[in-house]
Amino acid sequence: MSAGVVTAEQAAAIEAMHLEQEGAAGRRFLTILTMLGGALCVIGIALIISANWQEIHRWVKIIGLLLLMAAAYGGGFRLQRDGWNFPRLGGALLVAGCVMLLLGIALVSQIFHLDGRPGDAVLIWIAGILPVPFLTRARGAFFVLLLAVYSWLCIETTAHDGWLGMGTGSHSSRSLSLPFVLLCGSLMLHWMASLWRTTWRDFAEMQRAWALVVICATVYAAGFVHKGSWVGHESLLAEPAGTVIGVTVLAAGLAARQNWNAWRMLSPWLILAAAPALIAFGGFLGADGRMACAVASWVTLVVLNVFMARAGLAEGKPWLVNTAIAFIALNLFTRYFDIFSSMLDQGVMFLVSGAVVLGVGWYLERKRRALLGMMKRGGAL
Amino acid sequence: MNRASWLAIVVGAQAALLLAWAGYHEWNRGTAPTILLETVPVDPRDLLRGDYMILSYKISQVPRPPGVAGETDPGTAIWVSLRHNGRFHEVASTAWAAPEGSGAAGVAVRGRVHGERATGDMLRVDYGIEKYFVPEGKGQPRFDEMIVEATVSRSGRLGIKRLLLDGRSYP
Repeated sequence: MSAGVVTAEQAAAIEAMHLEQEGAAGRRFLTILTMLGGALCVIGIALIISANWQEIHRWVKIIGLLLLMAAAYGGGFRLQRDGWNFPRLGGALLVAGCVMLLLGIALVSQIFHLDGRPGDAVLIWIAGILPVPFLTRARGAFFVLLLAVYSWLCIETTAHDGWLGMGTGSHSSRSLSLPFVLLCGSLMLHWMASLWRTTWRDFAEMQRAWALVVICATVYAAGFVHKGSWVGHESLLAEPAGTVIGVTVLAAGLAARQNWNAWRMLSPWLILAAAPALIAFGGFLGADGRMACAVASWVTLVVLNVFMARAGLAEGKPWLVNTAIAFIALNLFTRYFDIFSSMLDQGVMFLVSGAVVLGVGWYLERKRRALLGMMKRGGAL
Repeated sequence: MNRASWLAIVVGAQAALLLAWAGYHEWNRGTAPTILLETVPVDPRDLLRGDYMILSYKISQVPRPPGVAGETDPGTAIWVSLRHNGRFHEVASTAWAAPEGSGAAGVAVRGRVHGERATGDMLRVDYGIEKYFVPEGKGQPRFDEMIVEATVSRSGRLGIKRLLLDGRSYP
């Protein structure tokens, strides 16, 4: 200031800025200390409780869990708003609250030695936490809800007396029912996401994202159904499988009616990828048809992933591009090992595999960065 | 009503659900009539609920009720009438619907057909008392005789009140 480089006002502004930055650093340090101390206290309490678990009266356990659950919900809700401005910590507490309801169900069934259907317990859990994300606007709570729905689908499909079992009851048919139901369920979730009102855009986007990941994973799994030991000669029962496909088609129709332009960007490729995978899981065309559909799934997954990357670029969504590239890489490596691993002797196999992993990995990563760079610059494919 | 009030109602409902469920079983444990069942253990682990023994009962195998031939879907409800025989209760008869009366010395309990589609003359039945949770890491206790003292609710559901190993309550 004395040398005339900055004015008095500028000097005061610079000083204030530095003070603010120091203050922010101090607050961050305090936050870390608080979280560390809190975590240690929680671990200590958990250890004390677990060491004396048998001696604690059953109603003390239940009431204790209910108090913790109420505190997690209440604390999480307040920390997200009312000027507290700790959205992540608040969200984490709300997630803890949702999980504690499931723990409560498990605790009561443990205390009273209840052996009911696990699917019913998860359904009660879903019903209990269903309103939470909508009342709190917490993405974490919505993620738990999605997880609960997927857990229920898995349990009900694989249980002996599950509502969604669509095989003959054997182990192989349950193994095939699971990806079949997951694929149809995920397609439904993907399409139903377009029916959300704009207020819930964040939830719709998360639902769409996880549904797409599961769709890609199940189509990827369909590439393995030609391995006889996994599926045997099983096929799914036509009536329940047809009903599930019918409901999925209905969801597709509703989504197309809602927004045709958005629908046509990805949905035709989803249908293209899902069709051979569903036929492969269902075994509707016999053993030869299953083999052909498994191979078709290899190809259609790549096609779907290319169009996912394209859609990600057009919509400005890096996660869509990253997911697409990740599945292309996974699919390519798997098929490489699937096809060539038995053709080469061990030494050459490792050498060639290393070169392939390096080459394909380098190319795909370069492509991914180029796409994301293009997205940042606001370009289109 | 604002969102905070609605959330309070939801959390209250969640707590009430757990309390009512636990309270029902506590009340049942205290007031429902009990029967003794001959028991055999098997021993796995449940990730969420700790160590437990899978229990199998003499009444787990029952004759197929008359009336429906062929396959029976897993999970189908079945009624089993039990009669007092010495210290224990044993299967007297079975039916697909709730029996009108279960006799002077007997009780009727509700179960579900277990596992794969059942076709034979005998059915395996689950009563919801096939798991007994034990202190973690203690393993399977040694014993000569295992008996479950079970409550019978008004709706015919069984519940484990006590596990007796060689006549002593465990754990």
